[in-house]
Amino acid sequence: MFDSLLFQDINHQPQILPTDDPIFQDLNLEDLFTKINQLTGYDIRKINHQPLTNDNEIRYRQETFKDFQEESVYQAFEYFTKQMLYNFQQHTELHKLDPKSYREHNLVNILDNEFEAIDTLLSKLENKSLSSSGLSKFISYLKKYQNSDKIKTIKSKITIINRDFNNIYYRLYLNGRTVTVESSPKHKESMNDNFKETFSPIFESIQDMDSPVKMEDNRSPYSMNNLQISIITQLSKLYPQQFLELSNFYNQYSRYHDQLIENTVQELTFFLAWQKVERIISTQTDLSFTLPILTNDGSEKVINSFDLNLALKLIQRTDHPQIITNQFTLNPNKPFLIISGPNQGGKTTYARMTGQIFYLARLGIAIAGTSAKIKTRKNIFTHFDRQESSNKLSGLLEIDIDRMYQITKKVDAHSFVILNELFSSTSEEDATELGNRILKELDQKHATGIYVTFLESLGENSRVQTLMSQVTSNAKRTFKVIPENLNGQAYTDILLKKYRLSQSDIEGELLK
Amino acid sequence: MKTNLISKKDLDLSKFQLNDLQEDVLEDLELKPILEIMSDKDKFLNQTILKIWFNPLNTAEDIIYRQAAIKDALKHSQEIHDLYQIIVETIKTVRSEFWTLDSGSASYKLHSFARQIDIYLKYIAKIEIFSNVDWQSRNFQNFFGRLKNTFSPQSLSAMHDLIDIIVTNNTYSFPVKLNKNFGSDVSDLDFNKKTNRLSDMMGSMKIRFEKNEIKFVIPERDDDSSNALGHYNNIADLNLATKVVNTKYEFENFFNELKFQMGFLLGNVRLKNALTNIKITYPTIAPMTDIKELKNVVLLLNDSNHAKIVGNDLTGNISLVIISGTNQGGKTTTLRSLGQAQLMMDSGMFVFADSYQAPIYSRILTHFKREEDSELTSGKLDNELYRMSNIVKNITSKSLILMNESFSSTNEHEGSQINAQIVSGLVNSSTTVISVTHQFEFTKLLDLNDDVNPIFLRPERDQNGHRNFKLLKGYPLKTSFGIDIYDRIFGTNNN
Repeated sequence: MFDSLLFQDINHQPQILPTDDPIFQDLNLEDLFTKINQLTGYDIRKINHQPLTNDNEIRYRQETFKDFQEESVYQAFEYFTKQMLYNFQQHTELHKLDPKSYREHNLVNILDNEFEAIDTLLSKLENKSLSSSGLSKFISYLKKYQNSDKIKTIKSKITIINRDFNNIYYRLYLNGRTVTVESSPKHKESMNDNFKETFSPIFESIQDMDSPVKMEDNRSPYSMNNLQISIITQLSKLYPQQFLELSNFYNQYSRYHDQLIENTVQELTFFLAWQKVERIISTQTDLSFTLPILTNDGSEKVINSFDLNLALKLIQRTDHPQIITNQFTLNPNKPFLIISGPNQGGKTTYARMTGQIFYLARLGIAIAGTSAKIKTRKNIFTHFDRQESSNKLSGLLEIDIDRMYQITKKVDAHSFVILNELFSSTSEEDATELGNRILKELDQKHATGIYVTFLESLGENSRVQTLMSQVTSNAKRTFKVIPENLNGQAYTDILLKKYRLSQSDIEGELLK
Repeated sequence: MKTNLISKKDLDLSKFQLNDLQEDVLEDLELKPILEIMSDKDKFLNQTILKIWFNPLNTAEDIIYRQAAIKDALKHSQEIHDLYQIIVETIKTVRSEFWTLDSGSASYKLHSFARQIDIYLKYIAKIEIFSNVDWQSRNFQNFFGRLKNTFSPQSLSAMHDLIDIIVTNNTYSFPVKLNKNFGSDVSDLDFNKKTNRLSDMMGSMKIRFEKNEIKFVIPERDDDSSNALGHYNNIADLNLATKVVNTKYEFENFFNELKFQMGFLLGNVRLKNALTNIKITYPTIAPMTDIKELKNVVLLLNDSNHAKIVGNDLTGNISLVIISGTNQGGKTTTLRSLGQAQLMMDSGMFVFADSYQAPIYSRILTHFKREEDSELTSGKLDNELYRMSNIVKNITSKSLILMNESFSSTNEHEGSQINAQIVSGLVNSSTTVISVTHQFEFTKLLDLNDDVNPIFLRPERDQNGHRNFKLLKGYPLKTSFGIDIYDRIFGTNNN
């Protein structure tokens, strides 16, 4: 029994997170989801806001996603989904069409196209073995559907109608406002052929005679215009038998549709959209995606990961900047990462990358990286410094602390907390003290997380792993973030050396 | 339709814009007076001649082909003049009678372009009359042969009749297929012979009576149907209109090409007629240079006393020529005359010399001392070096570089060092250099370099220190003869 590609148990779905949850803004997820809708043309926002919480449900989607990593499977479903969506859309708008025979004929086209799309999908997948239970079940459903007597009957009627209408030719005589429609016309020589014969000798190469010329108004209009309505009306008199056939078909099948197929096509857009975006990135860069292995204990590790939203932004730039990858490791003995380093060095990006890893893993899709082993976090909390409200310094500290209070109340062993430049509106001494307290609080609740800060002394805590964003000897940022003791002096040293102004430089110069 | 009067291939007629280096050549070689004589200050001809000058021919075959056309043109100067007038008139008539929009529907284009084709047909007939002239060259003979072949009296009248049907046709019919979207897939317009109106009506009534057809009338206010009708017409006309438009362009291109090529020939006729008594020669192509009595064209044009103007000779397998010596000894004039003549030869023209043999150069470049920027003392050397680097970047195989007192914006030592480095580099990469210089140290440095083998020229000087502006082979002397001039002007010559 097949009922959904998204949920193993469709009756117990996780909650849809409110769009004002801070994680969507802090981790740039909202921006990412918008980009994905724009890039793919599918609207999968709702499913993106409904992260799974159960590991088995996540694995159910991962299986399906894995099938889509096979190029031919992806292509087959991509084509199928586009065709089906287009025809569903046409079907809902069918009632708007006039004249009647046009509406009737459109239904034939729509159903014909839908069956055709299903046939194409099935034949493309004929020799492919699908390993996911979701897709396998959907395919068997489609096979059974196509072979049902009901569908076979509709198909044979469509074949007859198409054959009859494909033979309708006529000639139009236009004289002023008088139009004459002649059925089954005889062949006549065209002005075009005559001109070609007469003038071709002046051309060196005859193809030049037909080089494209820019002309207005030379494409067929899609909508039924008044003239065509009149023509169709006359044709229905000139070809009465065929038009009667059409009406009968419409009366019988105008409301025909299959709900499960329609639902599943909508679900497919979720997989296709993510797959497409990941394909775009991995073909244009050397970046990779991986389906994370879900674990319950031990250390967690993601290799060569990156901020997906940033990567999508950077690949659209014409100067093709390199996208830096980083490693994420979390040891159970040191459940908090403390990150420091120069401004604009990639600290916040690193924090976002980590948040995205945990959130996107819960959607059951592949995440940024070459390999990943992580625990599922049912709750992700973020608190980022809001630069825009810095004019209200006094109120800000209070908001910060209040927000932290709300978070600590909710956290548990399945939570991941990302704090970015917390308490920046107070003195260093205060901020250090507050920071240490928060860390202790979170540790007691067995939560894990990341703390981006310029406060070096937070690194002295025994339950944290420190990381530094890196710069080269000529003060260039590398955007690499690696485990290292916190050292605020490092960047200044590099700058001094660059300008040969360090103490030893100056001594060396003056004592020569 | 091929023109092929001055080139075996069609020429590129796109708008030509001199680049910085070409501007320098135009300026440095004083080409403008020659250009003005050839074009009679006509804008189009100016463009044409510049374009031909700066797109030199690459093979002896191409040069000889063009020389043949020019020889023939000089023999038939009146006919060239008349033909050019007809071509100009054709283009003007088409333009003034029908100003066609680039945009527009197929039906609109079909009619307006068809009318223009009719004009071209009329003028083709006028040009064909000149096929009776006793043309000497294959260039002209073949051109008129092709013209008569394509536009025989029968085909001209068939073309005209068809255009007439297109322009006056008022009953449209075309076959249509009902497509999958219940729209009309309109095919090409039917060919309906022009017949007299009455018999046409009778005929069609009789035929239609036997047909299976229904008639309807589009109501007066039904704009949507009217628009659709126009639209179906456009589709029925599309293929025909495309052909008509392309045919019009084919005529237009033919006339433009003809104007371009005939215009260049007319320029040659004018230049020759401006200097009727001066001997011209058609250069021969050979690796070795052998020039006798070459005269500077601009001097000839400016001075009616032609006898005063001295010709110069240059013989040898030249890769580097150093012209040194007296100020006002005719060095720059000679340098320019060599540049002018080489440019003319490479574009297939005659030159003003007793004889002229030289290799083909794919590019002529100039690096002349700039007087105008003398106030920018600090930036001058930079500017010179910048210009030279630009030249070096643009050197193609077998280029000729004419240098006139290059790198004299700095002291002689530095200038000589730079000059020697650059010139040796150029010559060693098989570029030919003709350099006018005062730098004695530069020539010394070149002499020390075994790889380069310069030909040295300096002005002839008689015993009295009078110069006759003729350059002779001779090793440069340490001082220029500025003192001579001083002596002459101040009348301080004691000999």
